[in-house]
Amino acid sequence: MGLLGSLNIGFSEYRIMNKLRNFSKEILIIYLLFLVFLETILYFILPKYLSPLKYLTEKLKDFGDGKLNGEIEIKSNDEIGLLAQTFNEMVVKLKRTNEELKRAQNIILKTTKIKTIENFARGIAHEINNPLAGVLNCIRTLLGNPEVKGQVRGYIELSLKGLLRIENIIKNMTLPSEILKSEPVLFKINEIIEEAITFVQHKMNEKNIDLEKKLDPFIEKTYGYPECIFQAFLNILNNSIEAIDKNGKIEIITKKKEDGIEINFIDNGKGIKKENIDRIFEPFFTTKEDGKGMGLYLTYNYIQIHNGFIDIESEEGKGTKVSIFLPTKNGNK
Amino acid sequence: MKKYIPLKRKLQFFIFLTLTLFYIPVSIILKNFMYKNYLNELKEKAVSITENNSQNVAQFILKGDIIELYKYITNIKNSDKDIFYILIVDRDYLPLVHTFEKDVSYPIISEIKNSSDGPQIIKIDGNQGIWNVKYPIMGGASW
Repeated sequence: MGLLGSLNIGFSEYRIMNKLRNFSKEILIIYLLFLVFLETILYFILPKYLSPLKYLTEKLKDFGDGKLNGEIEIKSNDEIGLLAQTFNEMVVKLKRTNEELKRAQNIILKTTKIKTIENFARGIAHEINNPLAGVLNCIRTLLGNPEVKGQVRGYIELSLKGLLRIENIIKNMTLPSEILKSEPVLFKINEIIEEAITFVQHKMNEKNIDLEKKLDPFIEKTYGYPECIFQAFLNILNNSIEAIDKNGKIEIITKKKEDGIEINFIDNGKGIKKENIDRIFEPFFTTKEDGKGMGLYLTYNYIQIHNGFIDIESEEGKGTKVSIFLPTKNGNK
Repeated sequence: MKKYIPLKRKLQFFIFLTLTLFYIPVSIILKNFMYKNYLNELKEKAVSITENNSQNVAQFILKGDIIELYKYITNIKNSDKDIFYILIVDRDYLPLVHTFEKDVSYPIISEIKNSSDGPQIIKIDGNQGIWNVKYPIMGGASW
């Protein structure tokens, strides 16, 4: 059997290419349909997921404008929820810091104002003190003379009484610098409070005032001048008692703080008028008919001597809260 | 406020980009796979046609009945749309019968001549994508 030749069949890829072109078109249509489907789903679903972000942005804007009061309510359990939670925590911290800043600013303003008045008053007191001593000496010499009698003696005694009152005021004004000349000692705040209470107990009984004490037994001793602190507490207690008509309540709370002691005197008396609060520590400022306006001025000075601070919050008709901070031994040194 | 592209648009663009990036390589791979698949099918079909008909073709050649042979191969060509041509050459590579409307093109003869005597699948024209399946015709019986 020999080779006769060969049978050749030629076939073209043309039909394959046609099939592939159709196939490509099908894939492209599937791709486009899938793309449109996904984009449509996104179009409808995304606003739902992005709305908390929009809400958060609006709230942030409100916060920036100072309009935000409450916290942001986003309950989604994801990154957006976490962002809202962190934002709420930040708002709380910012508010607290802002309040503390305002309070500190207020204290600085008050301190500066009081210091200015105090320096002015001390300057005057110093100038008056020397001639006053001379006048008092002369008057005492005059009164020692038996020839001075009758109406003249009466006038001279009246003058002496007035001059002694002036001398007393000057002494009070120069008291803080006098105290600083003595040595500070360690003392317990709670003991001073108890002592001050015994001095005003009878007044409280008379007015039927209920006293509530919440004294922290773990507070450390403080370093300073116990007689000053005693006088300061006595002044505050006296003011509280005077502010209460009858059947009131005074609360005394002491709390151990990181670097000191916080003491609060809270009463439900008639309170202080808003316009008077900023002037309450000024010397000679009083709302009482027979007051000298030296009580809270001295109290303020006594606390200042101990590197502490005092603040008063009051609402007319509701009561007053006096907050004192005194550094403990280390802080005070 | 500073101008910005909304997150919604960014996500939509991201989906578009992801799908497109996925679509391009996948479509290329799939097309390639389909092409190879279709081509193999065609080759197998062509080989099968040559195998099944080589004996009959040999009979016609031995009888010298060229007209009947022409009819025979024309019937084969018409029975399958994928067949571009059928060409029978003698042992000296001279065309005996073919289904071309005009003469056989020289490149086809040249390619057949250059290939070995056994069964062969050769790409004749890269541009038109024409494949030639060559099967030897033995005297009266298949090889």
